[in-house]
Amino acid sequence: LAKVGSSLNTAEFFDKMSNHLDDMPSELLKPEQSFRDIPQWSSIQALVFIAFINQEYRVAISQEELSKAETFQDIFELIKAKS
Amino acid sequence: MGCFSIPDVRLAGISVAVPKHIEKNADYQLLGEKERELLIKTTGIEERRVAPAGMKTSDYCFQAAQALLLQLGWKAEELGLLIFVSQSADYILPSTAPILQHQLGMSTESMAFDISLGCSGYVYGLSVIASLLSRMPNKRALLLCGDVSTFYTDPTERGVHPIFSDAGSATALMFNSGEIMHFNAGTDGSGSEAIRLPNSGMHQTEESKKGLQMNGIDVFQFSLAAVPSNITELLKYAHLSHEELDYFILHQANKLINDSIRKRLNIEEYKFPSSLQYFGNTSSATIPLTMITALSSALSGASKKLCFSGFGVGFSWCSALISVDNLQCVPIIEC
Repeated sequence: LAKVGSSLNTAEFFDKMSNHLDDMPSELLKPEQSFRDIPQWSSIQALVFIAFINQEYRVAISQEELSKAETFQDIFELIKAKS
Repeated sequence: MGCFSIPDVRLAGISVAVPKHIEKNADYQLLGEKERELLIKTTGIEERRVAPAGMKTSDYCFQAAQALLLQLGWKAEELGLLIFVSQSADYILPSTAPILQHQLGMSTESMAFDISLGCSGYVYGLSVIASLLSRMPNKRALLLCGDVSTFYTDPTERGVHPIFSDAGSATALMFNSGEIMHFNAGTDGSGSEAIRLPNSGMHQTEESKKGLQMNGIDVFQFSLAAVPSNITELLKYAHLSHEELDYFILHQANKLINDSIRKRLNIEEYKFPSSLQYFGNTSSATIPLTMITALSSALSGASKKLCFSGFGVGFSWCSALISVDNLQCVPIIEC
């Protein structure tokens, strides 16, 4: 897997995320969305999301880091910072 | 790197006992239908075995040990060593191993003791028992591993209850000149909070949480960070490649973790057997349970090169490379 860092593309990230989180309403998978406000969001969904990030970008986001994030954009920024 | 080798010990046979009672995750009412479907898809766990009140881990290990000795034609008095690996022992004290030594009718001139480890415990246990047995040319040994984890799980803990299942296993080992086992062990106590049973020992707090607690995200990240590199290091140490091994039998944590490890190692699915669907996560019994349920016919009468890897609570992890020849696999016991 390639190092992503500053070359990480927002559109590509959300496109891949939509493919992995196929149980979530795709119209809510957008940068400004607070993921905890999605009715289908759950601890299992969070684990699937974190696994997708690890597999796709080799970035390990901890429970503590996830709990401090609000929106998908926050997670996107975290991936960029940790790449 | 924590790699080391132990000579002159052979794995002779394995046996596992599980409770008869089955709980289905599709019936877990604390989750909605869609969430249950996602749980089953993500964990790979459809059914779990749950021990009735009064049945202990040692009871399942005892049943497994008796059946194994019978199949091998071994007498209990020929055994010189018994190790019980569990985090659901009969008592804080005494250790459970002496109770099992007596129940099985082993000689009083035997060494018997407990090791307190969970998901890494089978492979750690193998390394300890093999180390001792390699210095005991006339002895045979039993490694008894497992947990009745449901004794500790709170049914309202949605991230824990649908994962864990109960089982006890027995593994028979003997001195056999010319064999070699390779191990790679690791420990990181900075992760000790990720899986724990609050207020279960001398560390008492005001914490109100009940039952086994697990931080699923941190356990996932630990598993991906520790296990693939541990196995890769071990293969390099033993001058072996993935292709030269027949099977990789990993602790059955959940499907998401195990599939992610397999993909990271780039190993074919058929070499990566699973028992999660019908038995869930049975702690230190998952590796022998997977061998019995998925590989009995492949191991019977054949020589195979196996990689084991146990990982979890602690954090603790250990992988092993072990060759087996006509490994005796007792059919699964329900009791």
